[in-house]
Amino acid sequence: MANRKKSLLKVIILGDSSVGKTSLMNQYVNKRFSNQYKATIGADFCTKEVVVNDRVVTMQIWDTAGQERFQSLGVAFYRGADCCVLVYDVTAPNSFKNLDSWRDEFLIQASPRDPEHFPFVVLGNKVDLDNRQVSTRRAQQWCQSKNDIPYYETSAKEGINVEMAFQTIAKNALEQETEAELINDFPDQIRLNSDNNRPGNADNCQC
Amino acid sequence: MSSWRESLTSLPGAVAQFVNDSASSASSYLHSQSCTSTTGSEESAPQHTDYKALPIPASLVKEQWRLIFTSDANIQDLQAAIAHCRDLVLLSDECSEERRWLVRHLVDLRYSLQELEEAQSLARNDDDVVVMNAIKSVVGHHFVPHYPSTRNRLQAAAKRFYCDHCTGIIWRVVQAAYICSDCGYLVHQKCIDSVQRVCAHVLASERQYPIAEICPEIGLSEQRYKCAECSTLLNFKNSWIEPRLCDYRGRYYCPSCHWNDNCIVPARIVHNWDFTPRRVSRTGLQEIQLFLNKPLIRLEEENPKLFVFLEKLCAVKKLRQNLIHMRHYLAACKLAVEQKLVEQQLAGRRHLVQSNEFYSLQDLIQAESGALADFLQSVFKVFGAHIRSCDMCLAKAYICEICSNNEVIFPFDDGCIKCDQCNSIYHRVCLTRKNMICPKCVRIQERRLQLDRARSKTEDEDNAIDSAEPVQPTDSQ
Repeated sequence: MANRKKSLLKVIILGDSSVGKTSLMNQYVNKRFSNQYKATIGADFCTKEVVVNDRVVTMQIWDTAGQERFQSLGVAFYRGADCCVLVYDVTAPNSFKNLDSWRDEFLIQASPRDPEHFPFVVLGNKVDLDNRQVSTRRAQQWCQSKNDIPYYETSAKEGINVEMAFQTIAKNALEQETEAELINDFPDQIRLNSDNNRPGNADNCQC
Repeated sequence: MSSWRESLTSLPGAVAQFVNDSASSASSYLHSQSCTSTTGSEESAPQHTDYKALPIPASLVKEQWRLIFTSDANIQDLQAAIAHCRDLVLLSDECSEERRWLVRHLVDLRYSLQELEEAQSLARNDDDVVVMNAIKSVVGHHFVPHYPSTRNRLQAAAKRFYCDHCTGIIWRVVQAAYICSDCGYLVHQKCIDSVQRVCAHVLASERQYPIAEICPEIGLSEQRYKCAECSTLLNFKNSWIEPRLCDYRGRYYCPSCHWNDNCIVPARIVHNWDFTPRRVSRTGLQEIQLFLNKPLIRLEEENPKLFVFLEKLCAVKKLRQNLIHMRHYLAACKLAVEQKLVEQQLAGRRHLVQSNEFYSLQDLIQAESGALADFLQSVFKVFGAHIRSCDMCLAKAYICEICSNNEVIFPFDDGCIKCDQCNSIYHRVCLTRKNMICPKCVRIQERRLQLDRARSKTEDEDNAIDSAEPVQPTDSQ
């Protein structure tokens, strides 16, 4: 049973442009921060070995493009994700409002087995800045309304809370893993989505 | 024109600094000149026969003594003239005749200066060396010494070269020749100073686009029975100087400016898809050759019906669209960038995958022969092979959210359709079942409505709160 568990955790970072997705990943993986802004094109990933629950797992962190014009490519890599990190900028209220749409789009594109309980983590980035616009309470309220999503306030620049946030991400991702394994162990499981490879009648529509 | 005159009368103060010795006399000269009538200055124009191909605008005639120099000018004179010319360019109206003339002239002056400086530095190094490699600049041409290719001496010897100016044979053994590095104008050394035809490269870059009308003829009477290039008198009685029509320019030329060269004509291709070679003048031929590989023709805009009639053009258009999608993948893939996949496949024809609208003349010729579709097909295969074998490119594929099975699809796949609004890709069958209504667009719309509703709601609440407690709570912990 133990060796059947894969030791690769796939984590996707989503959020509006310039909220600090790449910076967070860089801070966590390379412990580096640059003030220069460079828009990510398409998507890219980094890997990092982490110890969670006394197990060594490889975390594959996918950094994505927030800018619409760089989203001209597909998001097939959402499939098989173990955790999704939603990032917003505490100084930009719009980036917070858009979390909803990022979450919905992710659930549709990734189509996880159990969308209700899929692990998300929300990060409010750039807390080192003075001109804060989104209050902690507002963010926490939103997270609670979405099935108690863990919420952290981070600063990729100062490295505040980054390590802790990613530890939680890894832990939640691993839990999702084991739950999925448990479900898989039922022999007579009927899978509605994945077995049906014909585009013709795979839709929910009965006609 | 009037504004130009006004600016000139206010000039002396500004230009005085460029006159080294007698600033005051120059300004008084300018004043007296600007008072004279235009007709008077026009009369003095033809004195400068060097520039009759580019007649100096009447309003600039009084400036010409500062701008035009004979071959005995020294470096200081030329530098002063360049500075003066540059100032006049800045003062001239945009897109005016004056500015056009001045810019051309400025380029000429700069070349002359360079020529002179090179000659001097060479002379300093070795007094006996005859300067042969210097570029000689005449009416926009940049002449370099011409040597026929030495790869095959026999063939080179058999091939005859004719002087573009006097139309005589260039006898290689005894006569030196120059060729324009821009337009390929070939000329005897003895003829080089009397060249009249403005370099086709200058004309092409000023025109920016091949002539779009089919043979825009104005008739001999409009041309005053003169050759459009060298002003030789033309009539139909004298068979020696019969007028010859250039199908590209639509003007009549004398036999020494029009050698009955056969060439395809851009306007006929664009409007009629007619690739029959027509007779064109020398200058027309040189210009068309310069436009040959430049992606300038918006074929679909000029002639949309062509894409309905011609299947090969449709195929080319579809292939190009697919290649544009592929280029997005290759541009975002480190591996492909490292391998320089796009450059390696397309070299100088990157425009083919950068947009779908521009065609060069060469592209159109190849589209007609079928070579273009073959070329694009081969590029498509190479790109496709990379994308389908590269993990990073596969990760950026799409999954049809309507049927939601795990098969990855690409925008360039057959049987897939792209939503123009949100760029999502679906199976064509799936979207047809949804009556071509993109589910993602529907979601985006709903979300926007929701946000609008929420915004108006919070605004109301904010107003209520504002009236209750004026200071907003700040949570920065």
